[in-house]
Amino acid sequence: MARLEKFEVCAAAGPGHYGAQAPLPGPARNLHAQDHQSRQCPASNVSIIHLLPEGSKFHTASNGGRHDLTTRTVTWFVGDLAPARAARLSLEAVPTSVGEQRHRATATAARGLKTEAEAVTHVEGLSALLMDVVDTDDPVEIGADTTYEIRVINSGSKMETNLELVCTVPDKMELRGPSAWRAAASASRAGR
Amino acid sequence: MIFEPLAKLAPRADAIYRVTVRGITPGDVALPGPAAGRRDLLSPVVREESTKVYGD
Repeated sequence: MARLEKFEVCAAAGPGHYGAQAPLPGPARNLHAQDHQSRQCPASNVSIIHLLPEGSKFHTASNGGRHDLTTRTVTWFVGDLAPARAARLSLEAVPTSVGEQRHRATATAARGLKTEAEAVTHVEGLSALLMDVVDTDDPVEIGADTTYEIRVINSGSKMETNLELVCTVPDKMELRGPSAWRAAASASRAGR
Repeated sequence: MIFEPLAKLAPRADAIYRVTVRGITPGDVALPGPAAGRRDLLSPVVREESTKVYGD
């Protein structure tokens, strides 16, 4: 889940439709905000604001993009944008929670020009298992007991399900039985 | 020995199992495994622990 997401914001001034283009698939998401302009008229005072969702943490921004922690925004001032020219900006963010993350970019310019686009990222968690095994008595005398304590840890960010533990007792030892079993919920269960 | 499956293990939670054995033959004995994992996965986590059993 801690992998970086890279977003590219593209603001273009020139002939064409007004609106947002659907985000492209893949790790780099493109937000296209296109202002409808005549061929002779540049867009002036162009600014772009990228709004980070709650589950995303700012990492870096290109072209001097300013991050505001309070408003969760990254802002670029592009200035004038000539007809048929585009300003391409990018930022990197780290997802911090699972679920759907909506990144929204808004481009504004003089004379009330405004357009928006968004990219949606579905963030998933991963489960990861670690295991520690220790024996309570070592060495142990013939005829005496020792207990192995086996600790299984979910070190990931996602619930692990349907977990099974298998132990093979060597020929030189005799099974005395599972002496205890404890999980996070303090359940009690025996092996078979 | 197979423990009853654990339905859920939350992130950063742990489950502790204890197995008691008796040494019956002298020498170094390794507990081969144990292996833990999801029942539908083929690559469980495996650890090994050795114990020395001694006699007179």
